[in-house]
Amino acid sequence: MTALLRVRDLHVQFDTSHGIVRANSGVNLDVREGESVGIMGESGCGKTVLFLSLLRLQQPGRIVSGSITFDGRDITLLSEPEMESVRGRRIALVPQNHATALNPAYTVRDQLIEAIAVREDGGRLSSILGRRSSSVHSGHLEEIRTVFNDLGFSGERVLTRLLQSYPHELSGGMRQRVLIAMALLMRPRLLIADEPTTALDRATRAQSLEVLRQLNAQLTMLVVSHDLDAIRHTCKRVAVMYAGRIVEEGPADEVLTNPRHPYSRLLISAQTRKRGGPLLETFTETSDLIDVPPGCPFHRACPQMVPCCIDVEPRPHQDGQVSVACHLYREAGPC
Amino acid sequence: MLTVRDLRKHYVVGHGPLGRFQHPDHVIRAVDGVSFDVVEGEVFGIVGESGSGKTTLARTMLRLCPATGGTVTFRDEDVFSMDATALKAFRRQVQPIFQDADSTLDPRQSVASVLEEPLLIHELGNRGQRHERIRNALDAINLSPSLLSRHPSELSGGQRQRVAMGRALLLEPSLLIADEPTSGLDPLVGTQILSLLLEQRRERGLSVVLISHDLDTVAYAADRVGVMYRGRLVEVIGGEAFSTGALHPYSRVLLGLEPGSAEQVLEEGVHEHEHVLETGCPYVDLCAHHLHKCHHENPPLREVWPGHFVACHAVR
Amino acid sequence: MSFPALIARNRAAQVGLGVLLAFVVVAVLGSAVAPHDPWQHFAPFESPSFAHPLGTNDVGQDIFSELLAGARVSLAVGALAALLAVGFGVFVGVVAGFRRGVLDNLLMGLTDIVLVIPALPLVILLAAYLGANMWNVVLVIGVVFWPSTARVVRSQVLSVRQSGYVESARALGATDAWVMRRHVLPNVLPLVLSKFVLTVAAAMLMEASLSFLGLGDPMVKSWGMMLHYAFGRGGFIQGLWWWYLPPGLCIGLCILGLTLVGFAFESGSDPRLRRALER
Repeated sequence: MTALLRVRDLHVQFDTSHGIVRANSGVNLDVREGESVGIMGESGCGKTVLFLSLLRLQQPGRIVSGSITFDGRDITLLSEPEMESVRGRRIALVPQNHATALNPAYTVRDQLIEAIAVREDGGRLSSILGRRSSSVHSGHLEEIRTVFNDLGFSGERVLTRLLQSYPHELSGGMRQRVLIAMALLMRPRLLIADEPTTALDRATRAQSLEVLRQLNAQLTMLVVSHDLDAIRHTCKRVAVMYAGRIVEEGPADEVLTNPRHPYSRLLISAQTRKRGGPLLETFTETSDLIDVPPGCPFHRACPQMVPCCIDVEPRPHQDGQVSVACHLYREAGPC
Repeated sequence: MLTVRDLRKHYVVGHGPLGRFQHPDHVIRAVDGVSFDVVEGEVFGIVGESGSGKTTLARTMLRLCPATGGTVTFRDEDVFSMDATALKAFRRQVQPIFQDADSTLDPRQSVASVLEEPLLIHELGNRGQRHERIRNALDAINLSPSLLSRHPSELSGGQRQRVAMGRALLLEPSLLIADEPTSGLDPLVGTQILSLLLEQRRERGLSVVLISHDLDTVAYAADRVGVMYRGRLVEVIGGEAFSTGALHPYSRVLLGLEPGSAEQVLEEGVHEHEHVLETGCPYVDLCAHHLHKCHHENPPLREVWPGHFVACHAVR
Repeated sequence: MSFPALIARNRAAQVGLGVLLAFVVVAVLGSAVAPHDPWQHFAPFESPSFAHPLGTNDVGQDIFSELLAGARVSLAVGALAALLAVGFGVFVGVVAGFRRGVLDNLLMGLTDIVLVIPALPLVILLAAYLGANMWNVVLVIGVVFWPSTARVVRSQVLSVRQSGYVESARALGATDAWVMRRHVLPNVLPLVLSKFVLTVAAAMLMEASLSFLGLGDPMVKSWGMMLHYAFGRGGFIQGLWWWYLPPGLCIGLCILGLTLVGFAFESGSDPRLRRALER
């Protein structure tokens, strides 16, 4: 099965008054058609910049080198008008902040119809305005209804009320569902979900994850999150990022239950709480992306550091189905 | 150690140009008759969703905002009727740690100044002794002394929260009220903070009121847990039993022990701005087990097992 | 961020500061650098020459010497008036913001009334009533410019009072006085400094306007007075640009310098502005 998305050696940088921030340093990632891949990591690891780069929305960052091949085309080479046909249409995003992603001045119905208008007419202002003012779009309403059915909403009464609501009248969980519907209406090849659970309370979280999990049957997905639960419920493969690099990558049930990279281990055990058991030991601050030391970016904080970690940057090594960028997993043994 | 009885904090909200004078009965009952005890040395967890009133509870307990009714007693002294001297002594003993250290630290103060402030307010020691204490505090919170000259905007979220914790611990309080100490932080960093908190608690014999919406954290750390819903405590249960043995319908949905329907999610959203009924159980609209009397009678918190209290008519 | 640092990062502010300092030096040195006593009479309406670099005015006074003397007056009036305005404005703003309640409402009502009245007509009215005297000019400008500072200071005080760090200070046991000293004032004063600099600019312009209109003090040489005579005594009609252009340019440059520095300071209190200026 060919890869729908192939990221090769991606380097993204930001020029700041404090120096050059290397947000992504050599990221390699494959997403095959029909897969759901999770990108896990904490803030500052580069996961946000990574998915923004897929949408060419990484400004003021610059894609310095590398390639992003989507559906056969290298999108780093596309012009802006060409990119517009990809962004939102072929690759759709469900943003993290559902409170601000929706326009507070328009009802849900208007915003969803706008999405359809963009899909069909290429987003020309005249056509969007034209659609909003005319009242009959039975075909489109059907489409909206179908999408919401897929998301688990079948009640006619409930749906009508939802469509008439303004964003501020809805709870977080509902808004997220509207955003997912909006993305689905674009009929994308790839759906990116940015931190789908962070802004939700626990009761809605489980439902939301279930929705995403079921969506995978129709769509290829990329889930970006630091939440272990979210990744576990929705993804078949997982890539762990740290300091702008992918440090571990493989099938989700392997990586999440048996993490190999020392950082993945810390990240995953930090989110497991067994009563009466110890919490993880405190450790020193994570590295910043400006003064990246040579060698492994994690070596200063790594509990299992060996001498060569200091000056030799680890390449990914295979350990079964999992690839780990750590000297401890070299075939020949740690240096 | 700490006794809260029937604590109430109501906000009068009015609509229309005359505001509160026009519709005086539009009251938001942020905290509506909360009673619980905190025993010396325990970690008492309080969980609830946003809007349940947990943060207002923390502020009102600390007398940072005036209560509408009820009492708070700390070591047999009535907090709300304390004079300035007694209140100052109370503040030394009971310290908060709030969520979002970004706003609890003055952007113009250096870390050194932030940590020195409590010592200066309570006149604890001369300059040398203060510096000694600050150095010890830095050790306890695992922060490098090189950060003393930095300002909050130059620190990471985790570092800021640790400074806030250090500031609270410098007074050597006996009770910490930690309101969402880890939300907004990455899981790894948040766990570090939690770990620090519990370590300090062990070493100093502190009592902690841990307020959080993260059920896993509370289930892990708390000796007893209180569940809040719309300003009321609906259940108080031992920490060990919490994850599986909660009995109140809301607690069970919260913990994922029982499902809430998709309709319920929409209803919650659309009704988000409605106010609580004066009588009757606040959860009655969404409760799968409600009885007829739940509409009229607010269920009291009753002990159904030793140490396990539930406010629900349907629970025997 | 400290004020020197703010200037160091901002090229425009450096230029402004340079210009300003040049004028301040001139003002301080005053008549020491002037070639002649500005009150001394020579031949009137002389064109620029070596003896009189900017010629002489209608009563034969050396224009260049006048210009240098005027620097001191114009800057001093601007600075004093701004001091008065900002000082009073800070007092009102802090009291209103901290005390709140009825006092706040009263003070803000007063502030709004003064704010609403157009500045120039009010100033003209007051100056005409009080009489042509430089001290009156300082007073009148001060009276008109304090509301803007008061509003800004009050709103900053309110925002600080409601902030999380003030709440934390209270939770630590701090008294109102402590909070005021340690948290409110340090967060308010940077704002005040930038406001002061900008108010000096506005005050200088106001003094120039008043003097130009004839309401200034004829016994004092300021740039505004020079313009008054230049236009009133036929300097403009006769095309004697060396008479009316220099004072006008000086006023413009001074105000520009003050404004650039003032903006740089302003960004210190509002981090959002800082980033825009750094680019």
